[in-house]
Amino acid sequence: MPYSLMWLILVAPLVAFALMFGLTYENKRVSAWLGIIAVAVADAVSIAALFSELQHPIHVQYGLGPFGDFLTFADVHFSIGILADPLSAMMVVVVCSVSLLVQVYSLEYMRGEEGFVRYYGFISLFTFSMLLLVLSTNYFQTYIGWELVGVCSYLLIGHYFKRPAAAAAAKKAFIVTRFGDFPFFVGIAFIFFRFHTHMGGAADLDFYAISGLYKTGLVSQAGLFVMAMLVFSGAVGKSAQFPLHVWLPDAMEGPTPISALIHAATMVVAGVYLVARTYPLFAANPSSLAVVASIGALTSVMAAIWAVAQDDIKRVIAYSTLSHLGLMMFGLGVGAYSAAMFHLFTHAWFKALLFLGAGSVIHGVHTQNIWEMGGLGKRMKITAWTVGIASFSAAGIIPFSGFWSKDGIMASVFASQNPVFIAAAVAITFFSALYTFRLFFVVFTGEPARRRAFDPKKIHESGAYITVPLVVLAILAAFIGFTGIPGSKQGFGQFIFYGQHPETEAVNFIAIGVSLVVALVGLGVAALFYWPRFQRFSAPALNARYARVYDWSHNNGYFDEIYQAFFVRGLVLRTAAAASWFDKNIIDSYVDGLAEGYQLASGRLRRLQSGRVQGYAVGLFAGVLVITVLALVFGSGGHLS
Amino acid sequence: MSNSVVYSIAFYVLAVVTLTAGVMTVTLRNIVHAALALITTFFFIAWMYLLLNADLLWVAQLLIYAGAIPVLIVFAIMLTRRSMSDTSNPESSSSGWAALIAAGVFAVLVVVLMPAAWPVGHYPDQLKGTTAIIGAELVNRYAVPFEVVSVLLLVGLIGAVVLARREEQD
Amino acid sequence: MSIGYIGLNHFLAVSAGLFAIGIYGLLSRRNAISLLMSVELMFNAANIALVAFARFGYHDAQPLAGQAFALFVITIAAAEVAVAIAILLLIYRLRGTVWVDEIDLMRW
Repeated sequence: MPYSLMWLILVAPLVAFALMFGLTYENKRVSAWLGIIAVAVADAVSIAALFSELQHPIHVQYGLGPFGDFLTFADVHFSIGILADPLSAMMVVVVCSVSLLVQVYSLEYMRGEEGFVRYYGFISLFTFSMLLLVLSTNYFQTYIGWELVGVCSYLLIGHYFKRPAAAAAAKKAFIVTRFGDFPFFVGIAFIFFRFHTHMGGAADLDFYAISGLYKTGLVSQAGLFVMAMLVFSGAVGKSAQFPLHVWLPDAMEGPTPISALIHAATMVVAGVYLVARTYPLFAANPSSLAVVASIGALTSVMAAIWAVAQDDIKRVIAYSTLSHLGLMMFGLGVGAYSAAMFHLFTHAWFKALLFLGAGSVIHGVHTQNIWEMGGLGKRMKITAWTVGIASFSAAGIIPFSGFWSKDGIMASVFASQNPVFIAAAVAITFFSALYTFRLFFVVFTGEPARRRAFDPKKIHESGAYITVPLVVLAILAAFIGFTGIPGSKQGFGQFIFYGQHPETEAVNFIAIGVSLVVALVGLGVAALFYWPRFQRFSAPALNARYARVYDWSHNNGYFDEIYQAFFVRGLVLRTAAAASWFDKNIIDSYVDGLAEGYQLASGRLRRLQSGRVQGYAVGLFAGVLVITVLALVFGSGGHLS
Repeated sequence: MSNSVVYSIAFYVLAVVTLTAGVMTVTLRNIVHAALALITTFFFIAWMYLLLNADLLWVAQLLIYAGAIPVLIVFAIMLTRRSMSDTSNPESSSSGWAALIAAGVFAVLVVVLMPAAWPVGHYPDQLKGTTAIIGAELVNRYAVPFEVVSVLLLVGLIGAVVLARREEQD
Repeated sequence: MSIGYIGLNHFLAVSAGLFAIGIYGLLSRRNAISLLMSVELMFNAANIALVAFARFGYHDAQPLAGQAFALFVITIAAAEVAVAIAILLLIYRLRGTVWVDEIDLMRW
């Protein structure tokens, strides 16, 4: 059984991190390969665990050595352990594999960059933290991993911290997610206090032990709703859902492989994973699921629209990620648990591939503006082909992986018969195809719209360290979808599902048909605007005609400006000013007054310390005398009898 | 005169002389005079021990308190203050408090000690001397304290030598 | 029990008086040697009480315990005087004074 070896998954990256910063910091080659070998070991163990789960789905969990009793006092018992079930097995494979590919990719991409070992060290630390989160057995451990990945995200976004934009983006990512993490923490405390006395021997906050308690009536429906919303707040922050989505596009200031690893495949899906992991809580309160679905749909639609108007290649993909994360939340909200998890699974591969492909392009042309690219297909064949596969997959076109997973969600949305949701789903599908292929056509076909800073002949395909991960990911992005064909008896839905039995929904051909047609329409529109061979319409003309819509979309719905004006200037700065005033005038004067009082009193009192032994003797005998007199007057039986 | 009257007269004379000498010890402004008054006090206390049938202590008091310790003190006086002036032993600023506290302590002691019902024993009249009894007690019942005190004396001796010795000039 | 007109309380009164005199000396003199002498007075006051108790509270089971105790007190007092005078000389050598109100190194 590989389950007893699963501690290796956690320990290997952590050891690599410690070694890199402790021993091999000066040696780039050794450090990088250390990280790669460590994550390869973790990956091997996770794949073994996944196959073991596939053969015999089972829930195993155990304390991680001495950390099994991480904190124990009175009747409180916090534990750090390893949880193996189909969901976590799937997630660890995703995390380890993407981390492995990204680290191999970075060998070339980050070659000669400043802080190379720091970069690898933090990737190892991030991998460890993410795995700690994924393998968590309880809310407590999840929160530790949650904050650790947040820190790693901060450190890696700010890798080029000498660039003000990167430093600001790192800070923004950290602070904005904090708005979600704080309610999440409150939620954990809420859950702890409500269920603490009902754990029945399990560690406090244990997922599996608590999952049976939500529906027992210990907490009212209103309480469950609050609980679910507090937990969901954490997911909203981490998975960049509306209204805390603003940090993710800025996070693209980090190195591109980091965007692939953290801000596409792994960390940002932690929120989705959290909702899936605590699904019994949401399932116990239908209105909380409705909120999840609404937030997810709103995020997804808005991000998909904004993605169409972006000029930066990484920002397009970032909004695409936002949109897909919203879609996963949407799916969870409408009850498509298996499909949402399947989409998480497929999305990891094709989105990592999109980012790494974009990285390859940026590596080749040294710009991120898509209008300065164009026609790269001839010079970067492997990149073009792999990004093409990723685009088909992301747009949800048969038979690539994104199609199969998106289809499951579509089926559930259609089954909900909610017209708003159905419209949203259709819009998401359309815009996904539109922005994805807009990107593809602009970057890889035709000629650059603007003059390139580079001689086109110097542009060439990237090296093997970059192309091999691209090809591996392309194979996965192309074919992994077949593991979850709707209606199959052996598919993903039979492996990861919520409840006692797999969801046995009939194949919804209407949903399949609509989503496929809409996606193809989106592709067609993209071709008509951006593929030179079929171009019929001018995008700039359209943009000019509907300038307001374009500006709104181009500027991400002005959310940054609104937050800046309302929260930062209106709320935060004013609160800070008030707090500053309070601190200076009330706290300080209190403290200063106290200090002055003591100084004054001690200045007088210290004169008692004359240093003259006779004075002390006077005090001593006077004291004895007073005490004796008091004892004689008030004492009972001071005399010998 | 009966024995009791003689005894009473002896006690009162001794008490008055002892206390007077004691008061002089702490009030004389010349330190040498004060030391002489101290010797006088110790001397008469020795006779008071004799009134209490403590012949061994009588001798010990005469030898040690009225003999050895005053010598030490006089040496100390000579080594510290060369003059025998009338200001060699002035009063400090706290003398008012000192008088008050001394009076208070005296009052409290009298109030506590006088009315107390002390255990009463019967002194054997045929006892001619106490030396034999105390000697036997010291080597039997008080053997351990006796040895400890002897070590203490040794420590005191060595300590005094070490403290008072001048630092050797290397 | 008493010897003629004189009883235990008479001796205790002398003892208390001597003790109070010692306290006065201890608290009022400036010369450290005088302080030492006052302490000796207090020792003797205690000794008088002890010997008086030995006389008037004689007990066959533990004969003359007070006198034995007084002997120990005398011995310890002798040791104390020796050490105290040594310390005093040392202070005098270092500070040039035996005035206790001038020895205030531990002053604020």
